[in-house]
Formats: sequence, C-alpha cells, structure tokens
Amino acid sequence: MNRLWSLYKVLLNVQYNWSAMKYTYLRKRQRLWEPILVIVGLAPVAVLWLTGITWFSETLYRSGMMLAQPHVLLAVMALGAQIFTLFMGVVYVLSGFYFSEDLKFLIALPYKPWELLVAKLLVIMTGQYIPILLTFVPALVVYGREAQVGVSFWLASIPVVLAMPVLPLIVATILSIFLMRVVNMSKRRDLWAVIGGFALTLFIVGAQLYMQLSFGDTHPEELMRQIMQQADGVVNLLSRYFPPSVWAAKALAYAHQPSGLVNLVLFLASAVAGGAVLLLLADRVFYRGVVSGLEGRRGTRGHSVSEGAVRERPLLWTLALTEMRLFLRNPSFVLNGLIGYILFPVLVVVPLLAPQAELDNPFAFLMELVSFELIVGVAALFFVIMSAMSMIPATTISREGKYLWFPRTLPIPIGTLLAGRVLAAQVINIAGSTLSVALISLVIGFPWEAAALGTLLGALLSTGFAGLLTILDLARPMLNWTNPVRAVKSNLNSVIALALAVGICAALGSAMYWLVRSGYAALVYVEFILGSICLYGLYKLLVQNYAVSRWQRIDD
Amino acid sequence: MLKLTNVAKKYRGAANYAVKDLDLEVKRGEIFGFLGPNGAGKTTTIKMIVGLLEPDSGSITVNGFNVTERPIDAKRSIGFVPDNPELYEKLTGIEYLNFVADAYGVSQDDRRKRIPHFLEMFGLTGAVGDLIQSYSHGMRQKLALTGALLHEPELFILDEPMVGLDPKSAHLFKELMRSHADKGFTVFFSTHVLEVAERLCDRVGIINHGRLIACGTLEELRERSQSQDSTLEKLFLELTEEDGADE
Repeated sequence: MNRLWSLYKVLLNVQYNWSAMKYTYLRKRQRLWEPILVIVGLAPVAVLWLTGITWFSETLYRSGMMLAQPHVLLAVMALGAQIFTLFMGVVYVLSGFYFSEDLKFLIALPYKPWELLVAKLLVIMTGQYIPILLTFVPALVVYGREAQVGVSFWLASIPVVLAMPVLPLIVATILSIFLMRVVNMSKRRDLWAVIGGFALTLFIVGAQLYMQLSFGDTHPEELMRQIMQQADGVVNLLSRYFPPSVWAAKALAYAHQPSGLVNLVLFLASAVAGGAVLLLLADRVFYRGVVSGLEGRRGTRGHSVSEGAVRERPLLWTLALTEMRLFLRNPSFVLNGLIGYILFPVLVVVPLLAPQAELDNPFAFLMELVSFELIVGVAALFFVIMSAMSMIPATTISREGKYLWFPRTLPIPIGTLLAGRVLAAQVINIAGSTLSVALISLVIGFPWEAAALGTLLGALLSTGFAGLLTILDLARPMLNWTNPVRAVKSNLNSVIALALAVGICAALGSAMYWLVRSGYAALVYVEFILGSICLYGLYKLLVQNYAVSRWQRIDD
Repeated sequence: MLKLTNVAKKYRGAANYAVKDLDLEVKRGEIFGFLGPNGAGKTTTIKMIVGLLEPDSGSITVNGFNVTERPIDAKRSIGFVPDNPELYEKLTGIEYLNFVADAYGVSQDDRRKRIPHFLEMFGLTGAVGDLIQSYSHGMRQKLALTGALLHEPELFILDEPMVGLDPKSAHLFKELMRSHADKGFTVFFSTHVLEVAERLCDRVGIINHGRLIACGTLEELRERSQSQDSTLEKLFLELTEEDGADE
C-alpha cells in the first residue's frame, strides 16, 4: 500500500506542479506576484459562482418543498456532478492513460498493472473533487441550512462526497479501455482516438440529456400522477437512469433513518463493485492496451514524398499552419480543447429530439424575450467564450514545452510568431463557433441575418482577445510537462482565460442590455466594434512593450 | 564571425557564475572546438550565442550583429543543432523542413536543391513523409542537422553533436562540418570526444568553471604545456586539473 501511496503522491505532484511551485514561490521567493494575481483575479469569479450556485440550490429546494420532496435538490446536484464526471472522465482517462508521455517510464518500473491503473485513476479522481466542491458541496450546505438537518446528515455527507466521482470515473475508464483496445489496432491511432473519444463523450451526454428530458415514454399526465403519488417521485424519476445518484440523495436525506444507511451502503457498494470490475480488467485489458499503444509510436513506415511536397509558403501562414497541425494532431489537445464546439450544439439539439418536444419548439419562448440586437451580441460573445474554452491561444507557449528552444532560435520576431498563433487560433475558433452559432440558430429559429452579423462581430472581437491570451501564456507559460493534458487542462492560464472571457462578456453584455433597454439598440454594433478595437489595441501595445523583452528572458 | 567580449552569466539563485569574463573570437572559415568538463559552461555559452539565454554582461556579436540588440539578424546567420534536438513530433519530416525553410526565407529553388541532397546523404528520403515521433534519436539528429543547414548559415553551431550517433552517422557529421567550413563558413561545436576535436578542429577553446582557460591551435596548446607530443586528451586533463588546483 505504501508503494501505491508513494506512486500516487509523485503522480499528483507532477500533475499539479507542486514541487516546482513550492520551489519557485516558497523557497526561491520568485514571481510571488503570480499566485497573488491569480487569487485576486479568481476571487470575484469564485464569489460570483458561489452566489449563483447558492441561488440555484435555494430555488431548487423551494421547488422541491412545493412537491413535499425538498431533497430533489440533492438528487439533481448528485446527478449533475456524476454526469459531469462521467463525460469529462472519458477525456481525462484517454489523455492520462493513453497519451501521457510518463507511461513509458512508469511501465518500466516494478509496479503491477493494477497499481499503475489505480494510481493514475486516483490522480484523475482527485481533480474531479474540484467541480464537486464547487457544485455539490454548496448544495449540501444549502440543504443542511434550509432543512435544519442533524449531525447524521453531515456525517453521511463525508463518504457520499468522497465516493461521488468514483463510479462515473470507473465507467468512463472501462469505456475508454475498450475504446483504446479497438483504436490501437488502427494505423491512424491518434485520429481514431479523437473521433472515438468525441463519439463516446457525445453518446454519454446525449443519452443522459435525452433520458432526462424525455423521462422515457411516460405521458405527461401519468408523469404528474407518479410524482404526486410517490413520496420520492421526482427524485426517483430524475435518477432513473443513474441509480447511484438517487442512493446518494436518499443516503443524505434519510441519514437519520435506517433507510438512509441502506442507501449509503448501496451507494458505496456500487463504487466498490465498479472498482473490482476495473481491477479485473487492469491486468487483462489495460496493460496490453497501453503497451500496444507505445509500440505504435516507433518505427517509420517508409513514406517518401513527391517533389511537390517541398513548398514555399508566406511566413504568417506557415506559422499558423504549423500551430494548427501541432494542436490538431495531438489527441489530448483536441479532446480537451475542441469539446465545447461539439457540446454546445448537442446541448441545444438534444432537447428537440426528446419525445415531448415533438409538438413544439422548447426554445420558442426565447424568440419572444430577445431582440435582434441581443441575438447578434450574444452570438458575438459566444466567440469570445469559445476562444477561451478552446485553450488554443491561452496555452500556445505552454504547449511548446521541451520544444521551446526551436521557435526561440528562429529569426522571427515574437510579434510575428504570436500573430501566426493568433491566426491559427482564430481559424479554428471561427470555424467551430460559426458552425455552432449556425446550428444553434437553425434549431432555435433565430434570424440568419442576426447569426451572420454576430459571427462577423464575434470574429472581430475574439481576434484581439485571442491575442491577449497569447500574451497571458507568454507571461506565465507552463513548460515542464510530460502529460500533454497538463499543458492545456491543468494549466491555470486556461482558467484565467475563462475568467477573463466571463469578465469581458459580463461587461459588454451588461452595456448591450442597457443600450437595448434604453432604446439605443443600434449602438450595440458600435459598442462591439469599439470593444474589438480596444482589445486588439491592447494586444498590440503589449506585443511592443512587453512581449519582446519577455521572449528574450523567458528561460531566465 | 563570432566574438564574445567579457561575457558573464549567473543563473538566478545560483552561488557561482556559469560563465565569467569570457573573451573569444572565432574567425570565418574556421572549425572551432569548445571543450570542457561537465558543468564547465559550454552549453550556457552556446545558449547565449544562439539567443536562448541573455548574458548578464558583456557582448556577443555574430556576423557583426549584437545578439542582444539585433537578435533576428544574428539568428539569421546561425544554424543551430542542440545536444538533444527535441523536434515537433507531430510534424512529418518534410513539414518540419518546409517550416524551417519558410522561417529562414529559403527560396523555392534553393530548397528544391538542398532538401533532396541532404535527405539522400542522411538516408532519410524514405522516411521524410513519416511523423517525427516515429524517428530514432539518430534520425532526429540528422533531420535537425538538415534543418540547420538549409539556409547555408554563416555560423554553424552544434552542441555535443556526436552524442548517441552510430559510427557511420558520426563520420557523416564530421564530413559535413569540414565541407561547411571549406565553403568559407564557420563551425563552432562543443564536444567531449577529444579525438574528434583533435582531428577536426582548426582551433580549440577549453572552458572550466565558466572561464576560458586555454584557446588556440593544438600546437599552441602544446607549446604552452611544453610537451610537444601530448595528445589533446593529455593537454585537456593537465589544463583542467591545473585550473582546479588554482581555484
């Protein structure tokens, strides 16, 4: 057990860069402004988030009270947390197990396959407690306060929270293990891993959404009758397709009764049973899958090229093209960065496919609420959010990692290098966001003129923003990574980028709302053009006054 | 071609200088071997020349351009192969070479002549369409070398070029350095393999504890040690031990 614990600690340390941070910030006392800036920058976002989630939990609790089932709150939040873990799990497991560079060192160590699997899974699981702490725990606190629960509730909440990500992550791991066994047989392993990863994620999200929205084939009147007649009607209904979440909710809601204990045992037993299946698979399937994956990475196939392959291109385009190739050919980058472009349209399309949606467009009410200018503005702001979510500009230098020596020795000014990276980020963002906006507009029924205008303004607005994100990554790159996921998903720059995007959207969105309400709707376009100019101007200013000197000293 | 004047570098938080008071001049058409024990300051010096590190004091000029003040002009004159060339694994060999050629502004005509020439020479023609991740260490080294030579650099810098190479590849590397110098260009390389330096270099410099302790032709070094039949290995050991005793 000590060996496993030691392996887990080392992997966790490497994953979150603890030793490096301790060395820099505590021992060397260098760049102390960084953690301070991050805390100061993220604090308002955290406050905003906690306020929102508390309000949502209180509303859900009151809605549950009207049906005499206040623990609907617990069931909804447990289900949400577990679905989130399940769908993110596929991406994390594929990145952590199959595309991580550290496996070639780990496999050579005298560890049993199950020890490696468990240690890596525990590291992924540890990361999953963050979203649980941000969503489920506030709901627990709200429930505990409103329902004035006893000590038994708080005692039961500890194992429930600890076991919350276990089962979904194990399900995701098992699915990923089988996916990689199939993918490893292919010559184009990376490509199929990306396609398979997206397909698996979409299947999980789509299936869950479809089931929740359709509630099976139950007729609406029958559904209401069930809800009113059963003591836990809503809870049972919500968790029909993932029973462990109802066990978690009941374990907490009835913590003071024997049935609570039964549900707690059921919840924990399901996690243990899942773990047992996984361990059985570890020796038989996981190890062979990983080893065959490593085998596939070496040995040329003897591809020569034609004379036409030697081709001169404009510098800016060659920089952008290389950046896109390096991003799109790395499954870890693609799975983590591009999931948003697929997820948002799916979240909108799936409700339309649910049986009760056959009669009417569930988004029709939106058309009555929003004006043309608001649609334009929201579409434009979507580009800003997606630019941050893609993580392409915000991790552009971090992704270089051990390759950083190469661009630094090239005779290309940093301004041009960054421009190439912004161009690459924008080609992908504009393509992805335009498709998403078009699909969402088509489904909801927004006028195409508004979508087109929003796309144009979004492309303008997100260009300067993407530039600023490249500067952010230049200022604090994460270069020492072995697992590519660390360069993107575990990179604090991705979080800061998202916080910046939320801040910009909040500022521009509030101003837009005020303009529309005050009767100056036409000025929304002026506002967005001015916003684009300001962001781009700030980016250029930072390139001239900061990027050049920073690029020369980035290794110091 | 390459001039270092009073160059010093101390890493942040380090007690000692990695490089101190370094004066060195390498002439056009010369092959210069930069020797020294582990941790002597060879790689730090090379990193400062190619622009990966900034000197704390002193100046470095490459082809007349100060590397701190005019880094882009200086880099244009340099072709650099590091000791462990980490190349973008998700690019194919030909994509990498096209990228390097675009970065250095190599014309279409020149790249059509030079790329097939080097690929043929290094036996990479059949693998150039594969992803670099499938290449062996030697193949990567050869690809990096090809990339560094595409723009016919005035100053060709190699950090420990012989590490991990098989005898045939090592021979090829030495031939290339010689032929590059014969064209009137300059070659500057660091090495631990003293036999290579002895046979290949016009002049050598020996660095220890960040200071240049000897510099000149082999004959000049022999004269200094008053031992006419000494091998470079013997001279190297004498000089570095002498310097260690002085410290």
